[in-house]
Amino acid sequence: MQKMNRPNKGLTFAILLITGILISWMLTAMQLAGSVNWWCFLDIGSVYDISSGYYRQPGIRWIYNDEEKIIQTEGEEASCYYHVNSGQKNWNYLYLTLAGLDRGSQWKIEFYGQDGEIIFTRSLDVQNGRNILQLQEGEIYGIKIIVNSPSSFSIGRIEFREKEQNFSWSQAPWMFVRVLVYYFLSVFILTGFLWYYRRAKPHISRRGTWTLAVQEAYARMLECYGQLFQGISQPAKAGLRKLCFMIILLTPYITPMAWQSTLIVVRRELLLLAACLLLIAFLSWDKGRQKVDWRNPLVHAWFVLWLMILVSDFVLGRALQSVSILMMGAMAPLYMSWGTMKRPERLTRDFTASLRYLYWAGSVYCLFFRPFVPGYRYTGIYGNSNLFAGYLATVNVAFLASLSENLGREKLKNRVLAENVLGLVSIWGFLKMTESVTSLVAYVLEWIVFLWGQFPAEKRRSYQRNLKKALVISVVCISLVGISGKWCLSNMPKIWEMQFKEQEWQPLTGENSLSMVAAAAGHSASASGLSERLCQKVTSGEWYDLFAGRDEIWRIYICNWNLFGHYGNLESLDGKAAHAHNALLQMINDHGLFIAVPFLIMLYYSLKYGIKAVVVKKKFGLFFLLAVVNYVVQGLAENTPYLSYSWLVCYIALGGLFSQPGEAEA
Amino acid sequence: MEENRKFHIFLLLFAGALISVMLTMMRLGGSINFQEFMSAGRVYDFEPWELQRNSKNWIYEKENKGYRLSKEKAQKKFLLDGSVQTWDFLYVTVGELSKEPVDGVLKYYDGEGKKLLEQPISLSLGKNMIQMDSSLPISMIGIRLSDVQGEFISITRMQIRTTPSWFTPRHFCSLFAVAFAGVMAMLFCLAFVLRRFRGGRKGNAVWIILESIQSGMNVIGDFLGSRLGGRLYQQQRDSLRSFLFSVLFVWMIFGNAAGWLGSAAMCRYHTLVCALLLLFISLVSWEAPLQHQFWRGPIMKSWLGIWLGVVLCDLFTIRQLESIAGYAMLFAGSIFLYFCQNMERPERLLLNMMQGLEATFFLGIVYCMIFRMKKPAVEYNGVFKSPEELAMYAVLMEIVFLTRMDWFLSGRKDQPVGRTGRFLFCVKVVTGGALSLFLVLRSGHTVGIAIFAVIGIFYIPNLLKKLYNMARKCRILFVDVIAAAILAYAFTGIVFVGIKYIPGILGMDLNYKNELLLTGLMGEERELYRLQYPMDLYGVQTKEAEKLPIIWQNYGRRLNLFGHEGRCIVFRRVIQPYNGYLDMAYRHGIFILLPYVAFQVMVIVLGIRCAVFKRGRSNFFLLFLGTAYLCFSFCANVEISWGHPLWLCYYLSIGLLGKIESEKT
Repeated sequence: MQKMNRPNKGLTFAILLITGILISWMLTAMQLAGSVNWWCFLDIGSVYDISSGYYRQPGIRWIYNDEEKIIQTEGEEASCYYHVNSGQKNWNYLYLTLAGLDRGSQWKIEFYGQDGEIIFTRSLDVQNGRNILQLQEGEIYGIKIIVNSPSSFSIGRIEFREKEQNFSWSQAPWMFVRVLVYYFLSVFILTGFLWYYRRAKPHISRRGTWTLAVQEAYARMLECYGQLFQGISQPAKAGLRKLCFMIILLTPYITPMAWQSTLIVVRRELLLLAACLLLIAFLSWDKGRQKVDWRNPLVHAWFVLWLMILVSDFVLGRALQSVSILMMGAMAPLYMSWGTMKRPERLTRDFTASLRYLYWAGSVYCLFFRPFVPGYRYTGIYGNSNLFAGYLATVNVAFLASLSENLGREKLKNRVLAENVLGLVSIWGFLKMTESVTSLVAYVLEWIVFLWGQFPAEKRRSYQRNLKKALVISVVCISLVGISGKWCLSNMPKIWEMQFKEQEWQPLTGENSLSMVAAAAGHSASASGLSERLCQKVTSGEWYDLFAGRDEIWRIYICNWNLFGHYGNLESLDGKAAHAHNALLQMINDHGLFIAVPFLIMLYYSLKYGIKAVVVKKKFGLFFLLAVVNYVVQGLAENTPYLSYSWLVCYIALGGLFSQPGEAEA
Repeated sequence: MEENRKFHIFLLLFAGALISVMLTMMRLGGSINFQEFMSAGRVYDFEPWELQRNSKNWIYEKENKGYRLSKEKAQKKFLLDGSVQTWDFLYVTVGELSKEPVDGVLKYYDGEGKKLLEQPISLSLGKNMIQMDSSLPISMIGIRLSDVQGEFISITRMQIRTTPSWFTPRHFCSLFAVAFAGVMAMLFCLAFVLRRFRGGRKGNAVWIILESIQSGMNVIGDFLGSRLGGRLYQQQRDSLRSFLFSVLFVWMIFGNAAGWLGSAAMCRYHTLVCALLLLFISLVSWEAPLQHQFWRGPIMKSWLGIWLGVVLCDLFTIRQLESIAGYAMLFAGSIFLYFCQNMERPERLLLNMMQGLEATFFLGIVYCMIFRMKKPAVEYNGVFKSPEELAMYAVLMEIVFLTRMDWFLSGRKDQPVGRTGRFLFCVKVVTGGALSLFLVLRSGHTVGIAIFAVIGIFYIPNLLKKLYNMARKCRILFVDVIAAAILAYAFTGIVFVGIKYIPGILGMDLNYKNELLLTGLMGEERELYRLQYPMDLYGVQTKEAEKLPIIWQNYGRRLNLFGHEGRCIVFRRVIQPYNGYLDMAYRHGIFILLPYVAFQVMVIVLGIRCAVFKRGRSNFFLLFLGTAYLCFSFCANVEISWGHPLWLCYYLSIGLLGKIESEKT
């Protein structure tokens, strides 16, 4: 108990530090922009960048030198045309950032209207660095840069602006540091005052009492409904749980395909998910309750996160479609119920089994109805290869966790082992065809974690025996998947005369996931296959290539940080609204800057408790850690929106980590 | 249990009626359409004044309620719904016709007033259906009658639409009767089968839901309540509650006047503040660990039914404003009721609520005297945006002051003591009552005045009797009341003069945005007044009771299963329904009426029980509040969610009823 009431100084410092950094960013942005705007801290008006992928496109006597990364113009009147794909068409300034220009010269820039007509033409004396051009009234749909004499240069950025930029980014770091220092000084003074006033009074710690109250409320609700399901046998409960989990996993996949994701559909979808989660919670409620202790930073961060999201949703006018209602109204009771189970691994087993069953169903569907077209990245059950890859990496978690549990068994059926191994091998096969780098990284990390998790068990005889069996089976499976699987994928759908729909987006093999820009620019992909793509990314030496254009999206999202978030995604590449391609940035965009504090704390403690679960050999402990690792890694560079597979698996897995008896309270 | 059985029978019958209405409307509409039962398409009803407006050759005779046609070929143009669209049917109801039939032509005009087509028509007495050319987009029509010099025609109703209208009251009733018989037979069979199937387990699922909700509220309520209300003395609780109620009422009135209730951006913040204040009042009212309450009675079922119904409509309809009130009431209101039911003496809370209302009322009067001038010939709006709202407020305050006087004369606890205290109390209550009367008369709202009068007629003799009985023991009280009445007369005179001149003298007269200004002047009177004071009636509308049936029909034909967003457009503008039932049914679907009507009935029933069967503790507040609300529901926009004290007091006052109900069981 003494330990429980001791404040966690590291956590307090981490919270203060993250908050300080965010406040400093916020104030710095406001100071730079010269305005106090809670809806966009860096209020510099609308900005549209022509994606740097377009800078590589060739023009008339205009060549992009891929080796030296420069543009070379030959002869007179070399020109290149760039589309302006932004939603906004009226702009006041054009900022042209150049580098490597051998000498200053005069360029001509033509501005085009909707029908390809020239609206106006401007001359610009260009030099290295930023060149600013004030624009006339008119809707701009494209620009043509005309260089009069042969020269070589590289374009840093072509951006259209609504307002002139009155500051320099070089001011930002110093300003940021100054604000951070002031922040810590004020925190220090405040802490001093608190300590001074509290020193004489006996300190009665009430830490975590609200958690107990919340726990109690959930427990009573579960007790009320749980008694209805007490008569059901354990196998029937397991069956029902699997069914509910499958509905939960299938709904977000089917709903957008069957219906448009309108507000009403999303609300109904959430209602269905809530009903399934609650049903699982009631089914899992154990009458002989185990002690549940939610007084730990993970739970606190989780609740603060969803409360903050609730506030943000309220401010932005999201009603029943707020996921926070689902989480606090249905997911939290599931966590509670899970914690009270005498054998919580049952629920984990049911969940991983549901994931695996759905994977098999999906694989059969792919084999018969989704052809693999050579030269294209495979999109599987989705219309996007990255989504499919993310799904595969997530399902891999279930197979690895299941294999990890099975390998240690004394009596292991070959059928179970074969199912696991075949699953893992086929996932690798599919993943290779998707050529998704982010998911590959997640996949590799999952394997590393899995192998790390195996060390404590390596000496047992049964384990060694099962491992040998698994290796033999995997050889068989590799040949099976490599030959017959690939043949089926290539030929079976043709036999059925199944074809991809036109609207589905299939990137060419070797092409970046966000490389519509590159494709539009006629930039041919030199690399094909996953390994070549990976090599090309790493060796290119350019951020754009490494992140496949995500860096541009991230920059747009960072520039639009605000207090309560935005209603939807921001207009990014090609003027279309796109996800942030980063979980943290997406959260900040959706719910405001300060959501980062509980989100990061939650992720940190999820990883920490996940590792702890593996170390203390908690049953299915590996699953919890893998689920979080998968979410974190995919969240670094991919879309992990609400209700996506990686999101669902991670947030359901958190339930297994919620109860941490004896954990320090802060 | 007996009460529950009666309630369920009532629900069954009412549900049968609603289903029958739905089926009948679908039959009339000719299709199964849950988005709009009647499938009426586009319909435009011509405004009554358009059917009374003169043209060059159509001269309206007010005394005969019709037109005298002054030329051989007399023509009149009618503007349609303000857009250029195609129409299929024109319905002209002729009330009187001196020559029958009368021939003429129907002219079609486009958006620029250019004639597109002439179609021969013939009008006779009664409802005339004219099939129109549906290929021409038009914005105006003209009717030119031939050979009609000196003839008389009275058009009582005109309607243009895209689908034929099969609705007649007789047809509707016959279809309804058949449907009702069938539906009731089916419902009774279903009820019988369910009863057999379920055996002795009655309401198990509902019980568990309510139990779990209450368990959750117990935990959180005890946790927070013990830290707020648990640390206060009773007097502190009372003072704080009265203050918070005052703040809540002022905030609601302010939000209503500022137009926040109609703004999607502001409404949720306004409602949030209201809900937080209500939650705070609940937590302040915490006295002891919360106990489970009886929520399986009709009144609480209806309460939960209303707000759950409002919220669940969001699963079927996208709405900006309609459901916010539901969320706030379901959450904050339910907690408030629960805390109220857990109080040892819930009438203390009612007393605090009334004290809050009194404080707000006198504050409002001062505000009116400084900022809200009574304009000549225009009905007074007071602190509100329409005379109707002022009338509702005045009726509420009448009930409050009469109840306060009743409690005082009945010698209840918590009443003022001491000579001065009693005298001041009498002055306050009598003046408040007199000012309420003054305000309701100033509002000129006929229904409000009638309700005020009815409540007064029923209540005042009872009070006088009590006063007489009490004055026999304590004569000074009688003198106090008489003195208070004289002072009240004087104060009312001051307010009368004050609201007429002070804002003008100070130059502080305040007009709200989108305020509804009404005048009783009509026709020639209005024209004469306008000639005399050209600017005074600018933006002022004329009261026209004849518009109401058309408005109700417009709302009625749009009824559906899960409600609509916004309001109906009638007479080329957004118009409120002027009926509480239609309002609820239109916004939240027809079946919201099930709990809504049940709630109203139960408030009246329990109000009667509270007033009549509680010897020595009789309380007329609930009965009169319920009656007033019921009456306003028929012909006023009473559902002003989180914008009017009457609305809030009505829904919250059942906290007291709940306690009584649980005591009984």
